[in-house]
This record gives sequence, structure tokens and C-alpha cells, in this order.
Amino acid sequence: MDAVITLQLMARICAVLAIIQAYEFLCLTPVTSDRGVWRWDDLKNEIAGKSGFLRGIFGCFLKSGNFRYFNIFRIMVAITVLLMPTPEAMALLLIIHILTLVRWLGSFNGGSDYMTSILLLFVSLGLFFPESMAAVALWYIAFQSTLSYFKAGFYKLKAQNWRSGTAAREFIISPIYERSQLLETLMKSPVFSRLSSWGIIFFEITFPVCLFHQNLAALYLAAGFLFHLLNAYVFGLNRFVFAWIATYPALYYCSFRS
Amino acid sequence: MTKIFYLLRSFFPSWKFFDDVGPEIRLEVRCGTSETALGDWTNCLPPIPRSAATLFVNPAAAYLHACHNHLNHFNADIAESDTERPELLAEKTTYKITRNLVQVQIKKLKLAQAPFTYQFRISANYIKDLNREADHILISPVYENS
Repeated sequence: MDAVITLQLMARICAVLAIIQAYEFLCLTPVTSDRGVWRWDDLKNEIAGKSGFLRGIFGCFLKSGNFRYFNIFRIMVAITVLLMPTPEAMALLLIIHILTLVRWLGSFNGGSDYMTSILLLFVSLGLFFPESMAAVALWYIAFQSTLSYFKAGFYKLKAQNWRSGTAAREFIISPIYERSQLLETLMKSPVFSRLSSWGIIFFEITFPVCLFHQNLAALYLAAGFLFHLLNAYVFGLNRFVFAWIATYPALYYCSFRS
Repeated sequence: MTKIFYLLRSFFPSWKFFDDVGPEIRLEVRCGTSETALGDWTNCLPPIPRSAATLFVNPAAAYLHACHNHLNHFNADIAESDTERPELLAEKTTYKITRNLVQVQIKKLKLAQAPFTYQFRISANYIKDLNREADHILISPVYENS
């Protein structure tokens, strides 16, 4: 796989992610309006302080009424990236993403926002400087993706309640989430909860081996895809699906070169 | 400076997911027609929906996740606040957002019809230990919504 072609594929997946994120924000227009939850009047002091200039600049994009058009613009830029993944269009998506994070005081959806930031920054750099930065960008994204699984697995392995299976059960049947008879029945079984916990720990902690061989990469990436679909169903973490899948071409690229 | 820090954090994440089952920070509300006629405490946020049809696009879950993230930030602000000067907490952005959230959810869940009086509280519920009573971290004054 060529580094630039890999980056272009990742740019297109980032574009799909940007369309999903912008569409969800459009659906949430009532809660970002002047009568909603995250009102510009409350946020502007936190974001721009007392500076009239900064308030004016940020307000152009992030003010309750304007945020809707800002997201429509984001969809248009993302469609451009889908059709023509140029470095300029990717850089624009990055700026839009950062402005969106500003409106949510740093993050709207935690981990998926962080991975999106890393992806947009390094894919843009790789496309801007293909000779010197393309491979570096791919390796850095692969490193962050691998680290995200490994660290998550490492902390779980250290926790006694994860090793015994109780943590997985407590997370899954938490009252924060809608009740599911099937999940509750499955997680009531100590054997199932322990097996599923160890399955997750094993998958996450051994994830770095996918960098050593392309067959291992194919196996782990397929498992990763299923893992994120399951998380999307069980925890409603749909934004993580495309954010992590967008890193997979980098992992596959690196598995050929290690 | 902290504003720059929270944006920079986005490029250097800790990658810790589901590592510890902490208490569930719950936002509860009670409302009524007057201060003396407030009803029972009700959970302000419905459960995050689970459906195979929303694996890729799920605005309802995105909203509720954002609400829970906000409650965790608000809880951190409460912990840092000066207990002797509660009026300072009410000036914080996280407090204002929480109040907005309560008003929006009362209307969304049709808990009361305007004009109404309401009060909210933040509590820590212990999922690990179901026998342990919830800790009420903050109880707001009674507000009126016209």
C-alpha cells in the first residue's frame, strides 16, 4: 500500500465521521439554541473571556443560531474530502473540528473527539508534505491507535474487578443505559462475565502484535471492527466506530513495513 | 491558560476507558406549581438507548453522553468550590448549563407545564454497593420557570 493512497483512504473515512458528527449536531439544534442546554450566552465568557474581538470571532461560528450553518458547512467540506481528499480540505475539516471542540469546552464525546483530532492533524500533515511526512503520519496514527487499545487493556488487567468479571457486569447493567433482558441474562452468568472480561483484556493488551504481520493485522482489525460495533450497541458509543476504523489503514500499512 | 490546556489535551489523550466503576453521578429534579407543592425526586436523564438500528448514527445517545460528561465536570467544579460561599458556584458556567439542562428535561419529559417551580440535586449513586445510600452532593435552591 502506498502511503499517500493510505492517507487518502483515511481522509475519506474521516469525512464520513465528520458527516455523522455534523448530522448529529444538527439533530441536537434545540439543545444548542438560546433556549437549550448549551447556550452561547453562558458559554461565551468561558470561551472568549471579556474580549469583544474574540467573542465576535467565535460567535460568527459558534453562536446558537450560527452553529447550525456551521455544521451544514462542515458537511459540505466533508463531502468535498470524500470526493477529493486534498490537504487543504482536510486542514479545513481540522479547523472546523477544533472550533467545535471549543464550543463544547474541550470535548463533546471524549475519546472519539481525541482520536478525531489526532487523525485530522496527522492526515493533513501527511497530505501536505507527502515526501517527508506521509510515512511519519501513518506511523504516529498507528502508534496512537495501538496505544489506545493497549493502555485500556493494561488498566483493566490491573483492576481486580475486571479480572473477576464484575466490572464488565457493572458497566453493562448500569442504570445509565437502557435495560436489555438479553445482556442482563448473559452478564448474570459469572462464567460469561469472566470470559467476556478476559476476552476484552486479551484483545486490547495483545493488540500491538497486529503491527508485526499483515495476517495478524487483518485478524485484529476485523475483531476490532466487531468490538466497536458491540460497544456502539451496548454503550451507545457510535462515534467511536468510524474514529477508530479510520486509523485501521495506518495499522495495515505499518504491518507491511515492520 | 487552562482553556488552551483543554484543547491541547485533545491531542494527548490518556486512553483510559471503563477502567474503574465509579459512582454514577445522577441529576434529579422535583417540580410543582409552588415551592410548597414540589413532587417526588425524579431522574432527570433517561437511560441511553440501545438499538441495533443506531450503530452508526445515534443523536439521542450522543446527547445523553454529553449530559453525563457535563455532570462529571460539574461534579468536579462542586468538589473544588468554596463551601462557605455557595453563591460563587451558581456563577460557574457548569452550574448554568446544569440549570438549563434541568429546564429542558422537565419540558422534554413533560414533568410539569409552565409556569412551574423546580429544584434539582446532584447525587452519587454507588453501583458497586447497592445497599449504600446515595450521597447528595448538591441541592439547589427552589427556582421558578415562567
